[in-house]
Amino acid sequence: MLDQLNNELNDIRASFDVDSKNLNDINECQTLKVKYLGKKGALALLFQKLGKVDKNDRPAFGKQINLVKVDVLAKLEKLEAQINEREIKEQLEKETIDITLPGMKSSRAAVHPLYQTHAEMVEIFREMGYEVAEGPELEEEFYNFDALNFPPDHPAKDMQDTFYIDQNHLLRTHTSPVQVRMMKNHKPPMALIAPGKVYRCDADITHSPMFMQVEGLLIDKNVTFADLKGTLKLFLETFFRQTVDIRLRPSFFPFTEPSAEVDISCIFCKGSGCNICKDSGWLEVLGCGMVDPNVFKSAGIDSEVYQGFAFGMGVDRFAMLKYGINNIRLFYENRNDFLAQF
Amino acid sequence: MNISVRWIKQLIDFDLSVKDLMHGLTMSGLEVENELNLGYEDQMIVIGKILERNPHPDADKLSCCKVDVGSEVLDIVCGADNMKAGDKVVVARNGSKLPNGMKLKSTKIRGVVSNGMMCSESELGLAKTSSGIMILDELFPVGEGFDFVFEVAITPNRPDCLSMLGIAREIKALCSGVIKHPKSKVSERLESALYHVNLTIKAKDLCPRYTARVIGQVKIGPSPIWMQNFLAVAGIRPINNIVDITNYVLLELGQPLHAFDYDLIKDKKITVRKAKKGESILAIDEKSYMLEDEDLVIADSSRPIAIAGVIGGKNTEVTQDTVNVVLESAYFNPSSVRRTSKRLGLSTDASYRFERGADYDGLYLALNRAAGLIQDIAQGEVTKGIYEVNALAKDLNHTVSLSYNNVNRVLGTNMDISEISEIATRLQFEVVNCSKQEVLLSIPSYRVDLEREIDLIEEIARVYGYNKIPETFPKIDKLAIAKINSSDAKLKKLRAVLNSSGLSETIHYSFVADAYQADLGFDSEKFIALQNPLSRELNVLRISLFTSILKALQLNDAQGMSDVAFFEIGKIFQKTEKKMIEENSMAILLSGKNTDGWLGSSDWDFYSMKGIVEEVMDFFGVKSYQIEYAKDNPLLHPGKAMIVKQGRNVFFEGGQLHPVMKKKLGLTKDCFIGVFALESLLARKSKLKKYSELFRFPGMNRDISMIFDRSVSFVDLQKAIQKTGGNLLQDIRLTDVYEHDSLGDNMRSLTFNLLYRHPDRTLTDEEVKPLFEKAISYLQSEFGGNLR
Repeated sequence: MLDQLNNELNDIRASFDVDSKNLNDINECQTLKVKYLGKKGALALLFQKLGKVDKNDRPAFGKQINLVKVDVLAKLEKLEAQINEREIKEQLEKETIDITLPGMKSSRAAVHPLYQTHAEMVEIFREMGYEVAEGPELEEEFYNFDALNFPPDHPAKDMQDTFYIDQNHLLRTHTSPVQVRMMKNHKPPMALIAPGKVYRCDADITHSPMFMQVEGLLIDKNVTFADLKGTLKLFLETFFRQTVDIRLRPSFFPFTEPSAEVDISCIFCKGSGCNICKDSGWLEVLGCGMVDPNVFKSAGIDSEVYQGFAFGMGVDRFAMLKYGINNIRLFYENRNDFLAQF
Repeated sequence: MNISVRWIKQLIDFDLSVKDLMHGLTMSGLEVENELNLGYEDQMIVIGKILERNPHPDADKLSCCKVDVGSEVLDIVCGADNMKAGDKVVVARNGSKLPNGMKLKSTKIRGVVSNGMMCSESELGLAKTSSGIMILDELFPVGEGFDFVFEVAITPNRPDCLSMLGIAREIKALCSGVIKHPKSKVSERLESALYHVNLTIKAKDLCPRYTARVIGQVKIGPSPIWMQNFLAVAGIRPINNIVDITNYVLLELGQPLHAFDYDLIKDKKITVRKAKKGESILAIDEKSYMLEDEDLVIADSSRPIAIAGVIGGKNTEVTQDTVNVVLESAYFNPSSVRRTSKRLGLSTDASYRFERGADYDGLYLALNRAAGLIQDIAQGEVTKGIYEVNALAKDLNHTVSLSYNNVNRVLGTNMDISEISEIATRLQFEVVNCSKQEVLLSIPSYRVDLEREIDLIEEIARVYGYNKIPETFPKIDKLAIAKINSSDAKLKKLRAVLNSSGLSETIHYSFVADAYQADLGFDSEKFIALQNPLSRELNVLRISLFTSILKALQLNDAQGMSDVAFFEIGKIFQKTEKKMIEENSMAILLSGKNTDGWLGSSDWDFYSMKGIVEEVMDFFGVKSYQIEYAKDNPLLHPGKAMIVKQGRNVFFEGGQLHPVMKKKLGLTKDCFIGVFALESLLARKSKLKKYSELFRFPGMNRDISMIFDRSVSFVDLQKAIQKTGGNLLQDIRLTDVYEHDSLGDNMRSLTFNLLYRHPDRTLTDEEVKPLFEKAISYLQSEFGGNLR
């Protein structure tokens, strides 16, 4: 009997070896598991026959069957792992896509270059401690001119070609009226930056009837012209992300005294001369000066106690320099292919 | 103003190269803008003398000249006909480059070699056109470089610089140098009784000082060549010797003069008075000007003979027949001249200077300089005495005190007393009084811009050099500075919200065409018009941002870019009966495709617009609001447009562009537009977001699919379901809307996903089931819903 069962065991082992060679997928592996290790599987059936074996031989034969069982199980697990590995490999290969096809995009938002420039300028001054201030675009003649020390009927008004609405109202020609409005309602010390749209009747490749300005104002007891120079240098170097030389030229604005135009060393040629700086090595970027005592007077601030500086610059000019834009009109046409570049 | 270096050199000796001169002037506030290098230093364009003029062997209209240019004699073929042997001319040598870009090199003209060119005024960039070459005065030295001309931009506060003498004074302040004042020697030879003038000033506020001389027996003719040459360099055409002299003195000294024909002045009366309403004058520019009673005129016994400070009258103009002249040198009120000049749209060299402020004390100098020249050039006989009315008790000894400490306090410098007084001397300020703290300075009368200490501080800084002032950083006391409210930071965040929805910002002019805006259905009564628009396309302020974004869409559509998503933030303007209103607004525009690619594309639609609107409402913390159809807006499709509001407060209005409007605007694709009442949204107090406790136990989801009549609105259903769910119903989501004929006429199926959740435990089916069934039966009974 033992011999017969021994033969059966050997047969089982041999047939498992044959079966396990032709496995294709995980299901066949499961089937094989049932066939040999299941409740009614070959090895279970052999166990049932164990009772027929001589009592003395039983433990040893039982152990033999168990060894085969362990062996089959180990082999099956190994096979299973191999099949799993193969299958996942096949799946991944099958799922592989052409990664060179273009990506899908939903409509991409552009940030308008003027706004980007505006935001950057404001941020630099905010970090220095300046507060943002606003004022109306449809302004009173008083705030735009008179309060800023423009004498009535003075040719200084010709420096800023004005769009008039009626006798007393106009489109502000600069952001400087915000200075006066703020001085009237706040107490010094004050540090403010006033960005916004301004208007002048002028139109060509570098002049737009509407453009954007950023105005700055610092008032305290000991603010000097030297402080103005230092502030502008720090701002300009931060904005253009490079060291620049600044050059101040005396100029005239009714609301500042002394007044200056500010040039920076050309950021394109570093001052050696190119077509952007018209071979001068310098780029004119802003106007500034010390607040005129008459402006303090019209705003009700004692110019014996306080002094301050103010400056104004064109956002458009800075954006044109920064992005190399040569026609100011592009900013206000709003062509999608222009905007999409930013 | 055009400055000739050759002319300036007659008025001041200085030791600067032209380049350094221009740089120095620019850095002291007189910005040099355009330059014409006419060989002054490099001697590529030189003064020459024609030695011979011979006919060209092969061409009747050409001549062959031998021209002495000092270092050599050049053979030059010339096509002009106005020169002769002995004339002095301007010669551009081989290798020179003319202002018009022409480069000279040796050429053969009809077989004859020509080395260089004799230039005309237009070739030298001095005139737009010219007939013949420029003939120079005998006084010009052969072989010298011709000239260097540059334009200086003079700021309105510096009328004293609107002359060659003024520039010379600036040069003196820059680098010292000695000023050579032009001679003004007059020999008064005629008895004034024979040439009497009766001078009256009736408007002394507008004409505080008037001086005049009568000069008899003048010989009218062309002015001398040297004068014509200098006028040409300054861009002024010669007329006759008298007029040229007044122009020359104006350029030289800055004081405008006018010459009248003495014999044409009726009754020999000169009255300075205000014009009478309805009076008019034919001026020397051949135009007739209607005058107002605020204008100042010079009149004789019966009529105006000049508009004071602006232009002379034709009726007393100096002509070929003039024998005796009255020469006027006066000071007119700047505002008055400016008002008249502005109103008449007539700006002259005279009005330009008077409106900025003439030199009150310089009248005699100019009057005598011109009289002297008339005497020398036009053989005039000057009568004895000067007619004068001087009404202004102007302080001729104008003084200003300057504290040394204040100079340094304003500038942030450490200048000492000697530095400051040295600069004051260079500026020709006279020290009247001086202490250790301050100095009292007498200011020259031509410096009309210097009245206060701060004006002097600027002068000191200007001459000291702005660039020698140090760069320091101010101490900003962040705790002490005034706090200011603004929406800038909030708008920055709002922009980020719109950007993240895929919208790009546009920025348009605030003005548009009134017709365009009216065509869009806006009430033109409410438009705010510009008095002086640039064009009819930009003549009113925009009343709504719809105008701007539709413009943007039209422009892009026309360029084949119809898939766009834009927003704009800006001001809108309208007038009511009482006032003009300026408000913040924001618009959005969604056109064509939202996504587009090889995997497929999707179009913008009403609901994607609504999603953006909901985000914006959430951004501003607007939690509950009503939605209505926007039926009355001609821009919007009445069935696909909405108004978002809270009570009477409208926050948003928008939807699909009305098909009629779409056609009218020539648009190719459907688009969705809307405007937000940004002003009132910004005015809302922003609330800080509050954290609410997270749920720690899973919720239970239930779906309902029901068929309703289409007239049943989602919002009503949502509210109804909410009512049945109590506190446990945490969320109601619409997951599907299905419309199909099979559902029946006007029917649609809606699928809701309901989420029930308890904060403290996991819900059981037994708890949720009754709530859910209640919801279903409620929808059935109240809204006629049928389960699908």
